[in-house]
Amino acid sequence: MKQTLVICKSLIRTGLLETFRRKEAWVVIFLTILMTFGAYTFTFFGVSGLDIFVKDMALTAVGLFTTIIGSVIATRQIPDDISRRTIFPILSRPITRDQYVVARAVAAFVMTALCFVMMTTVVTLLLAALKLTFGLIFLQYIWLKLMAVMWLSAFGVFLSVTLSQSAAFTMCFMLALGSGAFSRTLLLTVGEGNPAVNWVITFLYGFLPHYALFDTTGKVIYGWKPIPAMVVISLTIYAITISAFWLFLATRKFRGQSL
Amino acid sequence: MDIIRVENLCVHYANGRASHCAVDNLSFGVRAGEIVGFLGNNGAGKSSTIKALMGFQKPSSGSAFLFGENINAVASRQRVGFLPETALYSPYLTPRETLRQYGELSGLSLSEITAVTDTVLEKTGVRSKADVLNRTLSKGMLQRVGLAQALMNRPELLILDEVSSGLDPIGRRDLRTLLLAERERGATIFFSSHQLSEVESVCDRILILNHGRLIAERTIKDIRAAEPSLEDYFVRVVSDSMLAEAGVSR
Repeated sequence: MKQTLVICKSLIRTGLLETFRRKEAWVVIFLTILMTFGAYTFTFFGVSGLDIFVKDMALTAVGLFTTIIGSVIATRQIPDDISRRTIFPILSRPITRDQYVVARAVAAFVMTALCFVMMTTVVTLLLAALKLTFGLIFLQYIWLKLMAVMWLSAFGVFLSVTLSQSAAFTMCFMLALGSGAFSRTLLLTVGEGNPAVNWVITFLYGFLPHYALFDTTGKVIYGWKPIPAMVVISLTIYAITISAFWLFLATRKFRGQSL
Repeated sequence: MDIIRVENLCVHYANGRASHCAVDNLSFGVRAGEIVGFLGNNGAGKSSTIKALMGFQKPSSGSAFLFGENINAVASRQRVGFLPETALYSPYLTPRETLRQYGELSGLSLSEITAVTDTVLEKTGVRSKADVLNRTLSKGMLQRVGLAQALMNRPELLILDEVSSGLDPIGRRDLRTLLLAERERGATIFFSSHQLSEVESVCDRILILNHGRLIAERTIKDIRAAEPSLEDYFVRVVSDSMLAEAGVSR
């Protein structure tokens, strides 16, 4: 366990250096500011009552860019090492493949989480400067988003050891963004039909990613009260369980892979 | 005791329904303190053998041991320094940061890493470029960074794949000096290379592979006594092996 933490720390440190030197984090922060400020410019033309619209734009930008950067970071961790052949000197150290996969997923999580926190901080400060604030539910939004990022990182790493890098990114991004629509469609088809079909659909519903469950953007912008603690705890347990499940599959797949 | 022991090793690659045999029933050993050159044409099976030794490629059959430990055991790699063939170290890190990463992965503490890094950078000739990004380095300089990462944990066994790849004549001379100094320190060295002059000048013994099979194993001393040069010997042995495979006798 201690050794895995040391590996995680090392890969996180170098991963963060790379992310900032690649300037990806700065680009998404810049775009978030641009979208938020762009929405606010409507008030310059005398349009009033745009608070909800501006907040919506800001949090939508944060959510979208977190999903994009999370999918990119998670799905490139292992393929980058393989294409640069740096996987060989890494795995020539006394570390197991399981430790390597877990460390890469943890590194992806920390890098994406940091980008998300930076974007959220910038947006909060920008909105505060525009005299727009969020309620207490905003803290729950941040926590649940971090849980979603954990899920996304584990899922992205699993896809990257299963598919090519570009296919893994496309799949990860589409399933993350489209998870709400997929889930709703599945639920609509349950009911009147054949019980066997219903069972299959229910199974699929349980198995498919539910990234959208962690999104409380709507509640935040409309100023809802905080959601019950039990809901947050349940979602946290779900995120940990499903992330562990994807990582288990990723380690199993990677263990026997020829490099 | 053999530091490296390979017994009846076979490596097959599946290609659709067909299977390609890269290493065929290979057996050899490398003793402590030796420098052994692993030679063969392109596709002879050198890299596949090295990948199997390092646990990157699962052998189809046979077994291999490093320091008496089966290659499947993580502990077998504890005292090994490995240089892969032409790795592109992270373009957004500097050589110093790269070495720190590999030092940490080897289980060294930060103080140990700090102590070793400058020595290793000096030994490999990377010191002047230690703090510029890897993406600005030439292929030869990246190969030196590769050598430096292999030396970070003061390994007792160095396994180097295509070690002279990308190095200029001065780089190759420095490499010879480095390999001899490592042997002086007590390290065992096993490396593959196409640079026969370099192999001749540093190795104690060579192994020649053709189509995955070991076709010759001889000391450099014997070769010097009986052959005009290592190059002549290599060409003759490989040609004979190819003719024998084709069923033609010389």
